[in-house]
Amino acid sequence: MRIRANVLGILVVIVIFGGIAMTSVIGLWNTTNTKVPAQISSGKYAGVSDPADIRGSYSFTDINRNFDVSIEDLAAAFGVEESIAPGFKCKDLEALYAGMVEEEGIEIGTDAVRFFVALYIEIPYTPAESTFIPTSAVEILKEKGVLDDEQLTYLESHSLDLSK
Amino acid sequence: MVAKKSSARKIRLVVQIFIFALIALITLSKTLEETGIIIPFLSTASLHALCPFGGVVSLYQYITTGTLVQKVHESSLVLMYIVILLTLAFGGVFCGWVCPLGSIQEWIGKIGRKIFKRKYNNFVPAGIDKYLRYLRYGVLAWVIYATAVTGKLIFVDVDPYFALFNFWSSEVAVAALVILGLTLVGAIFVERPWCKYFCPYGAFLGLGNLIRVFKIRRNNSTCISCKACDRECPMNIKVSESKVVLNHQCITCLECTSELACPVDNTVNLSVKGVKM
Ligand code: SF4
Repeated sequence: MRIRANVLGILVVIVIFGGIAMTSVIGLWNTTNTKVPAQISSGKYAGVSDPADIRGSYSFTDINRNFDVSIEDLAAAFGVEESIAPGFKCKDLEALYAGMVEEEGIEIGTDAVRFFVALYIEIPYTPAESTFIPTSAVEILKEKGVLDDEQLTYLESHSLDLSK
Repeated sequence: MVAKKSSARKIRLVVQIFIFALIALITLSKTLEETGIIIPFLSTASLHALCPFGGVVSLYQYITTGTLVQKVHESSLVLMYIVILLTLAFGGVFCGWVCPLGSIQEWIGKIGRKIFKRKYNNFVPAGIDKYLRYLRYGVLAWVIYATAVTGKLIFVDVDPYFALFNFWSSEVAVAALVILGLTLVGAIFVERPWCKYFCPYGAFLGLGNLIRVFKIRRNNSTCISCKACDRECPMNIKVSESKVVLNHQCITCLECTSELACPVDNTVNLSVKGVKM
């Protein structure tokens, strides 16, 4: 049996779009994130949502839902206006701080949120060396009393006062 | 006969243009959505959500933790299965008919063909080219390993396909733009240089050519050994030297077949043996 070009063309289109249509009907065609982070699989924290899996597309509401960090604290920590905080996405932090972070090799973005959340819920997390968090975030963590001496020392050299 | 040939070529071009335009429009729709403008009836899916290769690189993490790599969505897995199905039936048909990066290289290649005539697509010495064709398996191994270790879509930083549809965005890494530029310039000299030498997804799908149901077959008894099939093959496969094309680089473009290059009816076809219709 031979397949001609026109038949092959039609088959290709039918299989691709038919497959998409079928999986849409049964709810498998999903082009957006489910916004449910992976859980830590072993050790003392097994079964807890992993801050390391926070993605740039997560809004503060998604983080609040998954990690029980209040939106008010997230907004205050990262200097985001409360009115836009619920829908504010982690990846938007880079744009928010563009121009304010002038030193080379310093980043306040999604990894900073991961780091803040991990400290907030007291789960070990190693941020990238270039990751900094605002001093406003450090203040919130201090108020909560979740930081040990080692973390305080680390944050002295990895936090930035952006209020000036 | 000539009219028939041109219509056979047109159908592939129509499918390629349709898919290319669709992906371009969806990317535009996604960009506009971020500024509050909605294009009716058009998906606002991200390019990552529409890339079947995302499913392949996510497999390790999906099996071990049940989650997908960052930026990859369930739709990528669905597309991965659909393309595997097409590949098992027809080999590298995704590359030849669907992939927009393959299409744009092919379209640019038409300029090269006009400039260099027969020299086009024959610049790389065969002795070196033969080995370079396996480079893409190295790229595939690196991408799968790096993605499994980091849990991130590492490939996006060098991916010319992502750069092609997002070249204006700050999300695209400079390396990806440079690779895209080199690929498009390279396409003036070599047909589909990215597909031939570097594409990890092409490497993965190319393995399907070994086991596909419908294969490119050449009928020895009617073949007049004119080698028209060899000259037309964009992937430089010597169709005239084998009865069945099992080459991992075949993109099932059908250029070599009796519908297009081959001057003898029913001599080179995409067919399955023993099944009559
Ligand atoms: S010309 Fe024939 S052998 Fe070459 S890639 Fe196209 S279908 Fe495969």
